[in-house]
Amino acid sequence: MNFTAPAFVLGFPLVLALHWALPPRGRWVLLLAASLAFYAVGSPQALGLLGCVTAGSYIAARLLACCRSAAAKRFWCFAAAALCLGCLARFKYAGMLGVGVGQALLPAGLSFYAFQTLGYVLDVYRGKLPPERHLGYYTLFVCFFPQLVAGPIERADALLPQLRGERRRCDANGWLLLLRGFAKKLLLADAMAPFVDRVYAAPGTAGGPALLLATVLFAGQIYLDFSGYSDIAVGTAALLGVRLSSNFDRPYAACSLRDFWRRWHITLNRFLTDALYLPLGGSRCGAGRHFFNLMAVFLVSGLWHGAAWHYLAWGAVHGLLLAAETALDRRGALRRLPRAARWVLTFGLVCAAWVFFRAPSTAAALGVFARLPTGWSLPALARLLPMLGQTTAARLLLGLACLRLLPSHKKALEAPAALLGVFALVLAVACAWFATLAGGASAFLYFQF
Amino acid sequence: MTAVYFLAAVFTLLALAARRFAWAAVLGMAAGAALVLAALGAGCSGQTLAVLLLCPAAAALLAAKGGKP
Repeated sequence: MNFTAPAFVLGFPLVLALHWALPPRGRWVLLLAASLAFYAVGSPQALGLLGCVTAGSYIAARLLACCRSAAAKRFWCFAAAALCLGCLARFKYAGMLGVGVGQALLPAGLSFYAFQTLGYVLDVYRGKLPPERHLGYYTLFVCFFPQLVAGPIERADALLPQLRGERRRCDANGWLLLLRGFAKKLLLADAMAPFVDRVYAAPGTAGGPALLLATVLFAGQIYLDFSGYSDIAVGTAALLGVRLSSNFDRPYAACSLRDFWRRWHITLNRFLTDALYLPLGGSRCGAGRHFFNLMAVFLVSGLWHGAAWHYLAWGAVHGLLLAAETALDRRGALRRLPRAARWVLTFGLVCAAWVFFRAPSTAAALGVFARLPTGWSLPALARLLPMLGQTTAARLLLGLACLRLLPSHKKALEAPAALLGVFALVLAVACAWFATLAGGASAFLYFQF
Repeated sequence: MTAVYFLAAVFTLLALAARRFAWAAVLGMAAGAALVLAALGAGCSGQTLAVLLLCPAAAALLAAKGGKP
């Protein structure tokens, strides 16, 4: 389900009104029906798989909680893991290995709900929470429409009690989050996309300045696209009285790679830390073992993003850079640098890694690095603005200023100027949405993962 | 298109004035709606319309934050 699709934009206000009109006990039925309906609009063929993963993880968690022997518990935990990871392998990675189906058939949101259900089974296995007995609530936990297709990947102990709770309250600040999310996606990310796509479609013909600008713009595009999606998801849930985890915390303000990964796609990193990094030993081990643990986590993270070798290379680059940063940090070498220098270094390394992520292949990414030092001249720099488009540049600057100034609390709207600013931004977003519809709704980047 | 640019300028001025005068916010909303209608009538491109609406949005939000109008 695409948040910019008419089905959601027109259907959500109806669901919201019905949700608060219904008695509290019946609300979960409406939310579950709406979740399945929204999912069916986008990918009806994937409903069966969603049902299989939901039913399989529900049964496995119930059975492992009934078992007394550790071996039986382990068996049911492995069975659930095999189901979730097997579905991922079958539908996402078979194409990469050259067997069976390709990525064209990847069911929407599989990577997200497979990890969310796996996290739930692992929590039950570790005794952190009892299994959910109510199949309806559990299905809603897996299928809750704001976060089904692209996260945030929620923990069961945070989401299930909220879905069961009958004393939920509508958080009107959710409207401001929705506006922020749509503005990020429709006004900014979509404005950056044409230039990035044009340059990366033929990186062999572009000069260094254009490649550098396209890479920096891609860093902005992927952040604004995904954090825009997350804002819409969190805002939608807040209006329904459910509090979802935040996925981003100003990641490009980070002054080290470790700091960056604390701020970027927080819920996925939390899952990988709990399910993989800590069981492997984390950082409380020898340097060699710590390096292995880091590489394992980042290779899995890279592969999770896509079934292609360049995503694996992106993960490997981050793993290697983080291991190098940890080694330098132990000697105190990085702390001696000024904060601004550390920020520039971190942002530069993150952008360099994005080249592997955005390029169509690892060879193309290496080609981008080979071409980066070429074509640097004053005329080439002067050609950048016409290439990007002056209107696009103005739109990006003004849009970023609006996002920076947009209040996050409804109380700020008591000031007439703030209300007028929000009104103008709503008009801009609405116009951009209609323009997008005319050209076919643009999907969020993370939908393909 | 002249009318569109004129309405955008009026909208921006009203956005700046809205910090001091509540009536400017009400007039600004009317100017914003008129701007969108005029832009649609004039066949203004989506990019241009976005910039024309983001100008008063940024001005009003800056004014609300306490920046100098």
